[in-house]
This record gives sequence, C-alpha cells and structure tokens, in this order.
Amino acid sequence: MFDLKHLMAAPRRVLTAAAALAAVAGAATDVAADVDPNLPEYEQTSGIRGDLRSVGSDTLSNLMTKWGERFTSIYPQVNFEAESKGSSTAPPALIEGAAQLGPMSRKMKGEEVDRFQEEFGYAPTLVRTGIDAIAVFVHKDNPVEQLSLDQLKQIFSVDGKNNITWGDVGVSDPRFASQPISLYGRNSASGTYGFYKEAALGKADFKNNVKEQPGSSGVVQGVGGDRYAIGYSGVGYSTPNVKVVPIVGTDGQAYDPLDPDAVYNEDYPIARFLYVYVNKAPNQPLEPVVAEFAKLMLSKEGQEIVDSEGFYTLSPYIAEQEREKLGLN
Amino acid sequence: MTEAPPPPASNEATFTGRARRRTTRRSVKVIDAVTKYGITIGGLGVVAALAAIILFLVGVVLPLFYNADTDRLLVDDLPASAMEPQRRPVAVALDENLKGLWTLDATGSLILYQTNPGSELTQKVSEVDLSDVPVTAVSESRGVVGLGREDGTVIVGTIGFTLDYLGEHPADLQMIREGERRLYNGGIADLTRRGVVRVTRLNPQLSEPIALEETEETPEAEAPATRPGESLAVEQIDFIDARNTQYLAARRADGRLFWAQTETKTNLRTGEKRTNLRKYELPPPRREARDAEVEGIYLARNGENVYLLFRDGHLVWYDTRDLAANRGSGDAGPVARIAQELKVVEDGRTVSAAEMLLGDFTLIVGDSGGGLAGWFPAPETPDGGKWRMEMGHELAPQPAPVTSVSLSSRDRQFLTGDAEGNLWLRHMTSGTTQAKLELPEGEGAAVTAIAPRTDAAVAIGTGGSLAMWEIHNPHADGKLPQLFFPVHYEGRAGGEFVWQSSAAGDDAEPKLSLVPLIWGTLKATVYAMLFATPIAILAAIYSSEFMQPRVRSVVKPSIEMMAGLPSVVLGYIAAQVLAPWAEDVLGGLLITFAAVPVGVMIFGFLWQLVPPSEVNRQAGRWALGGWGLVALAGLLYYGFAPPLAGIIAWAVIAALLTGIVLIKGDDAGPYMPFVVMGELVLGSILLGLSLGPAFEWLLFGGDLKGWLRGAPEGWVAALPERLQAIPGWTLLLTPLFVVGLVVIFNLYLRPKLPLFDGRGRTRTQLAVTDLLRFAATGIAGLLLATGTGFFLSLIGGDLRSDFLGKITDGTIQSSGIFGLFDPRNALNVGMIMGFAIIPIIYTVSEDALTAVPNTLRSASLGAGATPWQTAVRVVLPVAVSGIFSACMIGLGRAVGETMIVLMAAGNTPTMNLNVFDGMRTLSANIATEMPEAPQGGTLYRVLFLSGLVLFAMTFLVNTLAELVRIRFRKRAFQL
Repeated sequence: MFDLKHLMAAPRRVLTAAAALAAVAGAATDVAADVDPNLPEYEQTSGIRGDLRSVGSDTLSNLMTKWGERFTSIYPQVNFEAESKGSSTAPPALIEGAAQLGPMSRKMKGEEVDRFQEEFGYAPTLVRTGIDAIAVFVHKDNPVEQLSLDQLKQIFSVDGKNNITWGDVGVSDPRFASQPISLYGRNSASGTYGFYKEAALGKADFKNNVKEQPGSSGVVQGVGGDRYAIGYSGVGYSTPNVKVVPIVGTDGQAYDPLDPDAVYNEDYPIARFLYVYVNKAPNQPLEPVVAEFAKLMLSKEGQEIVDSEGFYTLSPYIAEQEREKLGLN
Repeated sequence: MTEAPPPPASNEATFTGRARRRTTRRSVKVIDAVTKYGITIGGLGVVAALAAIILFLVGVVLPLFYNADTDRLLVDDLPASAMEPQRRPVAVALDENLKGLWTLDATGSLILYQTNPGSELTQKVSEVDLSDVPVTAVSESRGVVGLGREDGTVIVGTIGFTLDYLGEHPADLQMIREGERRLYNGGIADLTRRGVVRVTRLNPQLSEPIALEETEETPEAEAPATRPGESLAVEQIDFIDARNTQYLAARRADGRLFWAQTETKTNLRTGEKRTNLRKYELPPPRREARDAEVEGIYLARNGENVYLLFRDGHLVWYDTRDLAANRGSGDAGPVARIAQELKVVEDGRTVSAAEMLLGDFTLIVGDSGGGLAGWFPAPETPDGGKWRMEMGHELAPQPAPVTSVSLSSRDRQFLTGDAEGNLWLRHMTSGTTQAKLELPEGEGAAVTAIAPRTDAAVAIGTGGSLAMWEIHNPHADGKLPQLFFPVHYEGRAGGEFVWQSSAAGDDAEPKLSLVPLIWGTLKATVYAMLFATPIAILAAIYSSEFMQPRVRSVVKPSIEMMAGLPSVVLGYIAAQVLAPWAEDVLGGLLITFAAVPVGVMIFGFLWQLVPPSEVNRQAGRWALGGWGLVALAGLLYYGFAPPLAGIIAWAVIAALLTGIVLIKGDDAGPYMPFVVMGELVLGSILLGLSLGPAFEWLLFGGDLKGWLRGAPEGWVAALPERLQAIPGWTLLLTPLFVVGLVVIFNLYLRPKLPLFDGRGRTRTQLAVTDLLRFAATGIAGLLLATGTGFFLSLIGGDLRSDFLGKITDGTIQSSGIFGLFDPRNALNVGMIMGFAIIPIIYTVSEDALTAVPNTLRSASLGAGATPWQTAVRVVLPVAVSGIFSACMIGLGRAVGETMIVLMAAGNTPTMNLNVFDGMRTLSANIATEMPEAPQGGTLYRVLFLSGLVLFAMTFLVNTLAELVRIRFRKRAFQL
C-alpha cells in the first residue's frame, strides 16, 4: 500500500546527493599511506554469476558502490545492487535474506545479533574491511593546536560546563578565547555517533546543543562555515575550510589522525574498523558470488579502493585473518 | 450537481418544434449512477485509507505499553553436593540460547548444568576449578568475573560459552530431535532450527594471576607497611572489561585498597600487542569507617570512580579520574582522592546487597529493610557545580531484606531477590517494577541472573532449589513516564526532559522524552508564522485591493510558483547561504526588520507632499530615479569593494528595463507602483544592512553576539550588570510600543486634536504634520521602550535569562527570547520556513479577499471611505474566515515541514525560546533517526509514536481552526 520506511529514507538520499556534490567540490583528502604491496592480488575465477545485494551503512556507501563497480566489471553476469540507508538496515536485510552483504560502521548490537541467531542458530560473521579514523575538525582559522580526550569530554559532553568557550580549553588568541564553542556532530542513531561517544567521551552523554547532522560531510560543512565550531567525522571528509586537530592519547602525547603510524599503532584514540557482515553458516563454504566479493574487498585491488575513499587500508595480516574466518584460503 | 428539470407540462410540441423527451436518457442515468457510486467509493476509500494509516500507527506503537510477560520454565533442585557450606553458588549465569547454566562457588569451582525447560531435570555437565590457590573473594556480573585469592593476587576475565557447530551428526547424536538436549563431549548438544547440531561448552577466559602489591607509582616508603601476621587475602574485588582497557579494584584483608588499569594497543600492521599495566593504591577511608565490615568494592565506568561500601551503609566515594587519565600534577604521579563519604541506607538498616547497574554508573543498594535505591554522582545544579552522590531513584521496597541483585545485559532492567523468595524485575530509569516472580516454597533468593538476551531469569534459593522463568519485556524503556515526564538520568541534576536515543551501544541509558521535540516543533512553527503571516496577509490585501488586475495576473502566479520550490533546496540555502550570511550581518539583519516598514512609511508620507497632478506625470521618472537610490544604498552597504561594479551594472540594467518596458511616454505603466515598491523595499533592506554596525554600536555597545552571551562591549559593558539587559528590552519593545501608539492615536486622539483636522488646510500642510507625527511616534516609542526596559531590568528581568542560567539544559532553559548565538537558529528557520509558507497563506487569503462581493466595496467607496478604509474595515472583516483558514493551512505545513528544519535548525533537542538557538522538531527527528532504528525495536516504536503525536497536533490545530472559521463565516454571512 505505502512504504513508510522508503518515504523516510527518501530525503536522506537527496541529502547524500547534496553532500556528494559538496564533497566533489571540496576534494576528499588522501589520508592513508600507500596500500601494502604484500596484500594478495585479486585472482579472477570463472562461472561467477547471480545477484549480489548490499544493504547497510552510509559511511561505507561509496566504498560498496566502488567495489560493486569493480566486481561487475570483472564479472559482467553479476547483478550488483547497493542500498545505503544506515547501519541498522543491515541486520534485518541479512536476516530476511534480502542482502548477502551488510556493511556497518559499528558492530552489531546485542539485540541485532540475537535476532540473527534466532533465525539461523549461529552468529553473523563480521569482516573488517578498512580502518576509519574519526577526526576532530575545527574551522581553518582556529589556532587550537591539540586537544586531549578529557578536553573533548568537557567540550562535547554534559560532564563539561555549559557554554564552554575556546579559552576554557587553552586557546589564548583573543579572537577565540571568549567565544563559546559551537558544536557539530552526527545524528544520534549513527554508528559514528555511538563510537565517538564511547571512544572520545568515555560514554558520557552529549550536550544537547550539539548540532546533529545527518551525514558525515554535513558535519565538515557545518564546521567549515562556522568560525567557532568543532565537530567530528571521518578524516577522509576533510575540506580546505577545516583543520584537523591532533588528539592527546592516554600516554600524554598528541597524535594526528592524518599520520598513518599513529592510527596503525592504535595510538590515535578514536579510530575504528569498517565492517561488512555476511551470513556464513559454520562448516559450510560461502556462496561463490559472496566469497569472490569478499576476496576482492580483502585484496590489494579492493584495498586500493579503500585508500581512494579516504580510509586507512587493512594490513596483510588482518586481511589474512578475515579470509581465514570466511574460509577463503 | 444539477437540479432535476421541471416535468414537462404536456405532450405538446414545444416552441422549438422539437419533441421534448420526457425520460432521462439511459446513458445519463448510467453516468449518474457510476459517478455516484464512484465518488462514494472514492470518498469511503479516503476515509478507510486514513483509518488504516492510523490503525497501522497505533498498531506499531501499542506494543510499547504492553506489560512484561513471564512464564515459569523450570523448577528443580541442585545436587546436594552443591549446597555444602563452601560449595554454595555465589554466582550463576545462563547461556544465550538457554541450553545451560553455570554456577560459581566461593572456592572458584565452576560447574556447567544442562537445563531442560518443561521437565524437572538439571544435569551437571562439567566442572572446572578456576584457581589453584584458595579463592577469598568473587565478583561476577554478566559473566565478567574477578577472583581475589588468599595469596594477595587476583585473576580476572570472563566466563562465556562457546558454540561449536558440527558438520555431520556424530554417531551418538543421530537421533537428536529439535528442542532436545544431550550431553556430548563435555558440552550440551542440541539441534538448531536449520538442522545443524550445535554444542554449547563453557569457555572461561581468565588472566594470569596479577599481584596487587608492587605499586610502581607509590614509593615504597610511603606505602603503609603491612602489619605482620595480617592476611594478604583479597576480600573484595571488582573488575570492568571495556573496549581496549580493563579496570580492577580490590581490597585486601589488611584494609589496603588497590586500583589497576590495563591498556592494550594492537599494532594493526603486525598484530603485535602492547599492554600497559598501571597500579595504584587508594588512600584509606576515615578511621572509624575502617573497622566496619565491608559489603563490597565497586568500580564505575572508565575506572573513574571507586565506591567502597560498608555493611552499615557508609559509602566512600573515591575519585580516580586522574588515575584513569594518567594525569599527575607536577612531578608527582596521579593521585586518587576521596570525593565524598556518606550514608546510603536509613538508620537502623544495613546494606544487604549491592551491584553496579549496566553502564557501570549507578550503584544499586538494597538494604535489610527491603529498601532499594540507585545512587550515582551528579552535579549540584544543571549548570555544573560540585558533583556529589545522589539517590537518583528510590524504588518500591521489597517485603523482606534484599539478598541479590542481578543485571540485564541489554537494558536498564535488573532483578532483585529478597529473603522471602520474591524476585522483582525492575527498571531503573523509570524506577518501576515490571514483573514479580516467586521462588517455590518461600525459600530466600541466594543468587539470581538474567539471561544474556534478557529473555529469561534464573534464581537459586537458599535451600538449593533452582527456578527459571521466561521473560518477554522488549520495551522496558518506552513507557509513558519516560516519554512525557521529567526523568532523573545518570549524572544529571534532577529530573529532565532529554532526547538522546543512543542506538550504538546496549549500555547507554536511552533518553526518550518527546517533550523537547514537541517544544522544538512548536518553536519552529511559531517563529515561521511570526515571519510569514504579516507579510503574506498584507501582500494579499495589497494585491486584491490595490493592485491593478493586469499586474495581479502576473504577480499572483509568480508567488504561487514560490510554493513549488522544493523544501530541500530551501533547507540547503538556509544552512549553507543564509546561516553564514546572517551570522556576519546579524545587527543589520535585525534592523532591516524595522527598516523596511519604516522606509516604506516615510516614503508614503513624502509621497503625500507631491501634488497629485504631478504624481502620475512624474511616476516614470521617479521609478527610474529609484534605482539610483537603490544603487546608492547598495554602495553604502558594500562600500567600494568589488561588488560595486555589480551593483552599478544591476542598477543600470534595472533602470533600462523599467524605462523601456514599463513607461509609455510620460504615462506611468500599470507596473509602476509595483516597481517603486520593489525599489523601496530593496533600498530599505540595503540601508538597514548598512546601518547594522551603527545600530549594534548604539544599542549593544558594538558587539551584539557578545551581549547575547553576557559579555557586552563598549558602553553597555560600563553599565551595572543588571542594567545591561536594557538593550534587549529596547529591541523587543520599540516596535510593540510604536504600533500601540499608532493604534491609540488613530482611535482616540486623532478625532479630538484640531491639528489633524483637514478642514482649512492645504494638502502639503497636512502631509508635513503627518510626517512629523510619524517621527514623533517613533521617537516616543523608542524612549518608552527604553524606559520600560530600564525598570524591567531593575527588577531583574532579562530576555537572556537562558545564558544567565536560571533554568538550563534539558529543562525549560529560558524564559527569554534572546540568548547565546548559534548560527543554526530559529531566526533562519523562521525566515526560510516563513518563505516556504508565505505562498500558501498569501494565495488562500487573496482568494478569500477577492471573493468578497464588489457591492460591499462599491457601497463603502460610494459612502466616502478611502480604499484603505474600505479594505481594512469592510473587506477584511468579511474575508477573515478565509484568511484564518489560510493561516491554519500555513501552520499545518510549518508543523509538518521536515527538510528545512532538518538542514537549518541544527537538530539540537533543546528547550528554550531563544530566537538565536536551534531546535529539533518531531518530523526532523523521525527523518534523522528512522533509517537507523532497528525495526520493531523500542526506538522504532517511539519514532512512530512521535509521528502519532505530530498527527494529533495537526489534528487538534485543524479542528480548532475549523471551529473558529465556521464562527467567523456565520458572522460574515450575516452581512
């Protein structure tokens, strides 16, 4: 009769389109170091055909599309479709069999795993496909040099005081010191929101004057157009109008999300994996089309796409672990 | 609908010579019938569709309010060996598929039992000893365990289950049926729904022993020496296993307290792990407290707080944030300090059970009188201030001493058992009891557990009986008290309305108050209506009563086309163009709201000075000259910056167009008044914007935003703090007073003052008097407003009370309409959403005005009334019902508008009136959160409920509007 969910999602898609336009204008920053040459090359096989559907996160939206394009160019008989309404759309799609791939920017919640298990009797398999460093952005004119996790907590969470100013977090520049900090963030249901809350704010609640943007690039745009702003989003969304702030880790040193060493050593405190969930029955091989797609994601070619989208690539040992998990060796 | 033709009088030929048919043609009848039934079916269909939508919404929402459903699955007795004094279980847990349960006794022995719901059979499957050294303390919560041992070391870790899926059915499991369980290789085998054999086994993962003693940071000399002969045995322990970090707190028999943290970082290139262990000793509590018996030690989230709870109810709160953040002052290492010591039970009672709630923030304390409360640290006031322990929730007391507390891993539910065997399922956030269970034969509850999926509970009685229940209560969080009433959330000061539906983790406390969203919807609507209604209605009056019909036929469709602009585009403009611009020219923008009407009025008065004969002849030149004025105002605003060339170019083009297209000879074309008005408005806007800095200096001492956040500059800063509120009052009250003065003057004074009597005066004289009167009214209004503002400020009135923090965060923040400036604010939303609803209000009002019969106008004009008097006193009252419906249609659009607020309002679920702050509306909230709300989950249903609330709001508004409209219409028809 009518598809409410679809109606709800429609404006979001338009938003993403607008955001994509802006991203083109701003040119995404190339963050990662080169793709590790030790990753395996993707080897083409034959006889791969059929439908392949992906439903899930919008953080991984471009990534899935690019992988899909590459995949269908290798196997023209595969019909690939990707839908990216949000991480939470992945589990129901996997359970109903509406999708074979469930990209998610967070791990499944207990409740979601429960439902999957109820249906299949085993847990869904999570595949790490890339690393996303969440950067803290300020306006390009902002003189702030670094922020500690505790300062982030003061700025973003209810544990800090209301109307906190730049002076309160150590900015002495008179143009900024007395100015209240204008806060930008993701919408509360997004994976990024929850991850930031856990990793940067020690699970404390966000202040309720954090301006919640429905997309990652919306945050960066907001910060770029607001001199006294601060916001968080994937480092790949950086534009010339914003500045990435190094974060002080628990060891007292400042780490830059643009520095691959800091991210790969887990010294940069707010980085996470990007996941693709698949339905793999224990003791049974994956469906060939899914298996080949997973091989592509975990290959050098697939990781080059991860790199071009502004994420950090997997190192060979993680790719190996994931292939092992999926029984692809 | 056509009326039936009168029946023909006779069979005679008619005048036309054609025989008139007496019967209606068959085809007409058929069409009639088809139309009749078609329309009926269509109409009923619409009603049915609406009903179906509502039923669907209600159907989705209703499960939120269902009560918890429980059902006893199993009653059995544990083997007698399990009930020997040292072997009594101190912890119990179920596996997630409810196939088995484990118990842990005080010696560290872990036993797996198989459970068989429906039958009375509990079989022991396997047993392991977790520790080779005698265990002296056990902490267990949701499978996370810490074991303190006699030698002063601890082992920590998790006890979980592993699931093995067997590829082929082994020989001895060939005949296994679905639902059946069998023992297999030290595990429990069963068949999944897909026919695969699955074996559930225990999987304890425990660390190597960790010594508490060698604290690196505390120099040996300072550490209180252990008194000889005293035991090193660990008596209390707590352990938290977070993402990359683990925390440990323990108390030894000698009274010494330890805090430790392990941080693990993985090199993502090589997989190599680096572990960093830091250990500290906590200072001892007050002397008198030290001798009392200790109930337990509890670690809070991120290891930031440690609670040492004594049996007598004395609670010592250690602030260990510096330890967790590894933050020392100067050369000294981080130090823990005692933040507060207090009593958490009533006098005469003792603590009988305690546990940290999911999320590790709230300490649940049960006492010997059955009392139960949740304690957490919270700031004194919503603005911050000193943090102290607060009893956030006091729950309904159990009938007997509380003996056990166990937690859900999915939400804020927990199960409390008492000495009489009552087991109550509670929900902390709402402070409610969700279900009541009972152990058989009145045995007291010894240990209890909630299953990992919160779909079952298990309890072991003091006499060794074991009972298991199925629980179905998926929406513990979405109950009415949380949705519509203030709730005291963790770490917040007092009850608040908060919307923060974190869906990312199970351990976050969901905050699902719809009140801030309803507030936001109303706020956005009110500001949009304030902006749109006057403009739209005045425009409608102008175009229906004063505009030449030829011009109107162009203007009206053009405005209607505005309605066709997609709201996404408007939202995008609001967020990306208007917001940054408005922030830059804020002072100018505010003065523009006054400059446009004032500019038009002044021009009107000046126009009166021109002899009527000249008006028509010179109009063309005026219109041309007007562009020069616009260019001049533009010049004032932009200065000689690059836009200068652009302004000049536009002015020249506009002037040429005006000249060529509109002026025919000396005669003013029909578009002339329209062009002149346009010039005026444009010129006034530019003038207003260029006056911005001067206005900001005059009224706010030069920094409007500084004044808004309570840090004014210039002369305002020199005022006593209280009087600094005056500018706000002046800004708000001046227009109100001016309008008031004008109305009072025209109604009461004008007829009495001979000065304004037109008789015996020239037109010019009267025009000059009018102009002077206007100026006098303006100045009087300004002075009156400032004077009133002075008195209001003296008695403490401040329109920025939001910032001054009278009532803040979460609750109603502000009684004032000014406050901290945020670039995503109600002003922008009001303007852009106003822009979106102007066409609707305009076009419907215009139709209503045009529909007023011309006879009324003619009569009024014929009786000597001016066109303005006719419009305002004759036409408007007749059309008022239509105009009212126009406003209501606009209001309906504004209430439901999504994209503009979504993109421009910042989506901050705050509750204030501040025109410079954002809001989150119901519709924008649905749009942002629905894509990520798990279908059928609590958030999903709450979002549908908010849709229902939105529907109820529009329904209410429309019904009221209809009632009012009908009243007005009746009156209009009486004319």
